[in-house]
This record gives sequence, structure tokens and C-alpha cells, in this order.
Amino acid sequence: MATKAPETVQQYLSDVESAAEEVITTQQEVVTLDRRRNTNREALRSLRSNAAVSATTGSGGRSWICVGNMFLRMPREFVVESIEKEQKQLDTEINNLRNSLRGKVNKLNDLEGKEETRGTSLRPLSQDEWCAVRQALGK
Amino acid sequence: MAAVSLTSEEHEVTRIERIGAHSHIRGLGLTDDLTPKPSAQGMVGQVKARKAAGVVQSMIKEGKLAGQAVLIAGQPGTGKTAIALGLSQSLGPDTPFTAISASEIYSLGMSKTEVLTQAFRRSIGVRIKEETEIIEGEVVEVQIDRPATGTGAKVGKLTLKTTEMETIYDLGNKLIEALTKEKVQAGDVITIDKATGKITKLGRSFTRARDYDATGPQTRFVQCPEGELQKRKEVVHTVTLHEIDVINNRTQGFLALFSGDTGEIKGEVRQQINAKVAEWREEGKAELVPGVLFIDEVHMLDIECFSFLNRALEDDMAPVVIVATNRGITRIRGTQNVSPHGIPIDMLDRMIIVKTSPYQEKEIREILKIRCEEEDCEIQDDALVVLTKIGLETSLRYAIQLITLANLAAIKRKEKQIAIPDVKKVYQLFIDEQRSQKFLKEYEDEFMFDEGTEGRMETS
Repeated sequence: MATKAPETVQQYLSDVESAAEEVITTQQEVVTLDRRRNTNREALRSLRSNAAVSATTGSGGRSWICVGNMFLRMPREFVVESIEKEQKQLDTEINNLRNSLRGKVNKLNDLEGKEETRGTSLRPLSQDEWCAVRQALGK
Repeated sequence: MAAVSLTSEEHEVTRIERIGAHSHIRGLGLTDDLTPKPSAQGMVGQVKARKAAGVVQSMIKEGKLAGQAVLIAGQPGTGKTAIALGLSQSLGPDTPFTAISASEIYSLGMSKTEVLTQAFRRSIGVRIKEETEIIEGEVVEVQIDRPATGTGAKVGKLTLKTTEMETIYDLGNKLIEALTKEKVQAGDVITIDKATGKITKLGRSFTRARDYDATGPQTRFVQCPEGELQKRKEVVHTVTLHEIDVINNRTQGFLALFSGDTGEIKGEVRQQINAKVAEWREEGKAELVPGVLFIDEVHMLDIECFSFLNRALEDDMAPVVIVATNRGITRIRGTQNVSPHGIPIDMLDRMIIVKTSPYQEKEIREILKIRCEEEDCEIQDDALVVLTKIGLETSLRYAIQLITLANLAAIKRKEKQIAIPDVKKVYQLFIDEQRSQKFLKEYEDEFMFDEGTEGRMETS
């Protein structure tokens, strides 16, 4: 086996590192977005349950919302609407990140000389198709 | 004393592993660039045949050889089955590999072509992907409020966490029921399937391991999950076409699955499944994994089977077919015609032929050494030389069979290693095929119903 120049080895190692770095940052980003998604979900839930309470006491249809560093008192419908809009955006973004993660992990595996995980590029079967297949596997 | 007897009882329960004739083979013993190593992964010698098998293997992996046939031909005891087995081992667990002996197709319950078709479809895998959205986390708190009247809708809250985050879910009636049914409590690690709402308990968190003084043996401790709470899980399965066939052929009920006796599968069922799989492939939902079908002793197939194979190989869902035979020019079963390897010429024309040749002395020695290790026998060097001589003069199989026998003789002498006297003793006790033939020729008049040399089986 021919010995490789130190530059190529260094280049290779830095390639692997950067690929691994990309995977980690994407994963971290998904985690951050999911955290945001969960807090939004909690907020929506409590806004809905409080709506029932305040309707009887009559404290006006306004609630506090924190935008950046500012607390604003806004009409409840507006608040709910904007949070829901954000939720939708978060969902698509997380999905996109996950889809891109597949390619990045494959690239890293390729660089590290591991075998490519097969079949990940397939589209998933639908729910009822899986029911049938699971039967076929005897589970 | 009690402890000692207890362990001896335990030993009795453990399964005794049987050692098969080819149990020492773990692969083809090739380097990355397909150069065969002299002795690796249990394979010795047969360098050319192994290199050829290596080329075949890399073509199978790239899915290029589907619908073709490979013939491994050679004298008895030259490692044909070993090469096929090594090939299957090196293809990995994802590639379907079916090994049948040609005699298996003659069954009373099923027609010959049905057995062959089933074997074909057992060797084709379909790769499919399952994707589920799940919520996975450690339960921090479960809070269930029952209405004071006793009846009516319950409400509750569930707090879940991972190493990164924590959140509260409001629970509906259905989930509360599922939680109580699964007896979920704080400290459990659970997953909730988003689509179906099914709750699965994975185990208890390690951090809660000291909550109780006594825990049942079935309590499983797991790490608190990492990352996001709402995860996407992708699982890739490989199922064979035959498995799908069996389920869709449920005329004889569920029992077929357990007994393994599937009976004949209707042609329409197969057509439907082919159509469904083709549809999935078009939609990008499935990949075909052409596997390997190995037919040993292929000269036992008759002319009908060969013409069926000829046709079946042209199907676009055909696996790689590897056949092996130890016959020379002989009659094709079911006809009066003579053909090389007992295979019709038109069939032979489709095949790539790999030849195995008799082992050399050095190789026999190496194989015997490997078998000694496999059978847990220690052998002295000079005894191994004697055994190699026996292997050269009689057959490799006979020499391999002598190993365990000689070991028993050595144990009887209260020795750990097999020495020359042990080999000599068993060589005299158990005669080989040549000596048996010689003996029979000498005393043929004294045996009953002897037909002499005229009635001998035709073997050429």
C-alpha cells in the first residue's frame, strides 16, 4: 500500500470532521425547533382552556404575547393565529431538516468507509399497506 | 456442595451445538480487491474457483447477474458446497439465500415446478420502508383527575422529558385509558405512536433505578432518550416474495404459517403480488433485492425441471441461480440422452461454469487442521501428517470423519492430544470406500444376492 502524503491525510480528516459537524448541527437544529414546537403547543393549549374561563368572567379577549424582548397585549384571536402559523412553519422546517439529514449521514458513512444504509431513499408505505405487510411477517 | 450440584444441573439444560460439515466456513476468504488469500475464513486452496466466486459475488451485490446461472462443477469432496456457502456468508444478511438439494423437489404434496417456483420466490427480497412519527420520552409526572361523581370524562396531564427538553401534554379519555392499561408511572420511558395513539413501555429510566428496594426480574432499565421529543422513526425491512405469497394464499387458514406447510400457491395470487410489487416499485416505495438460489446435486433434476428453469430464468424477477454437481458426462434424468454434467446443452449454454479441482497435500493438511479446531480436537503434528496421507490416498471426507473418532480413542487412552496410534486404531476399525470395495470383491461369492460385476450401478 502506497503511503499517502500528510496533506492528503489531513485533507481527508478535515473532510470527515466537517461532514460529521454538519450532521451534528442539523440534529441540534431539529432539537431546538422541536423544543419551540412543544412550547408553542403548550401555549395554544392553555390559551384555549383559559378562553373558556375568561369568557365567563369577562376579562376581555386579550392576552400577553412575548415577541423578542417585548411583551405585547394583543387580541386573543390574533395571538392564536400567529402561533398556529409559526407551528406550521416549524413542522415543514423540521421535515426538511430531517430529509436533508439522510444525505448528510450517508455522506459521512461514505467518507468513513462504512457501508451505505440501504433503502433509506425509498418512500414509506402507507399505514394500511403496513398493516397488510405486518400480517405477512406474522406480527 | 449444593452449589456444585446446582451448576451441573444447569449444564445439562444448555443446548449441545452440533458441528456440521461446513460449519467452519465464514466467507470466501478474499481481500478487498478479490484476491483469494491462501487460507482465510475457513477456506483453503481452490484459489481459481474462489476468485471466480468473488467476481460473481460482486456482480450479485451490484444486482447485475440476476436471471443468470452459475455452475460449480468438480469431483466429490473438492469444496463445491463450501464455495456456495462461503458466497452466501459474504453476501451478508440482507441478501436472500436459499439452498436446496435437487432431490427435494420430488415431493408427494406438491408438483415439481411448484417447489421450484417457491424456491425461486424465496430468493427474491423486497425492500420496503416503514416511517412512523413517535413521541419518545421519560415520564416525569402523570396526573389524572377523576370526576367526583365517578362517571364522566377524565382529564389529565402527562409530563415527558428527554435529555434536551421537557413538556406537558393534555390527555384525552382514550390516552388516559391506554396509560392506565399499560400501568405507566413516573420514571418509565415510553413511546406514543402519533398515528394510532399506541403506547409502548420501553423500560424504566436508569436515574430511577434506586426508587424501590425490590424490583421484579423483568424490569428493564434504559437510558433517558436524547434529542427531540417528537421523533421520526424509519425502519427498512426486507421480506421475500414467498412470505407475501403465503399470507395472501390463506385458503387453508392460519395454521399454514406455523406448520410451514404452505401447499400449492395459486398462480393468480402470485400475479396479484407481482402487480402490487411492480406498483410499489414504480411509486418508489419498494426495491427488489435479487438473491441467490443454490441447487445442490443438480443432476438429480429431470428434463422437465430443466426446461422450466430455462423459462423461469428469463423472468424479470429471477434470482441468481447457482447449481453444483459432481457428475461428469452422464444421462439426463428423464431421457436417454447423455450430456455433460447431466445438464441439457441448451441449459448449459446459459451458465457460467466454475471448476473446482482436487486439493493438494498442503491444502488437505490445512483443512484437516481447521476441522480439528472446529471439532475441538488437539492433534500432534506427526499424527496430522499421517492423517493427511490418509486423506490423500482415500478421500478428504474420510480423513475428516476420522478426526472425531481418533479423538474418542485418545480420550479413552486418557490423553488430550490425538497421536499416531489413535489414528492407526480408527483407520483399522473403520474402513474407507476403497478398502470396502476391495473386501467385497475378494469375498463376493460369500454375500447373499450378489450379482457380481455385471449388475453394478453405472457411475461415470
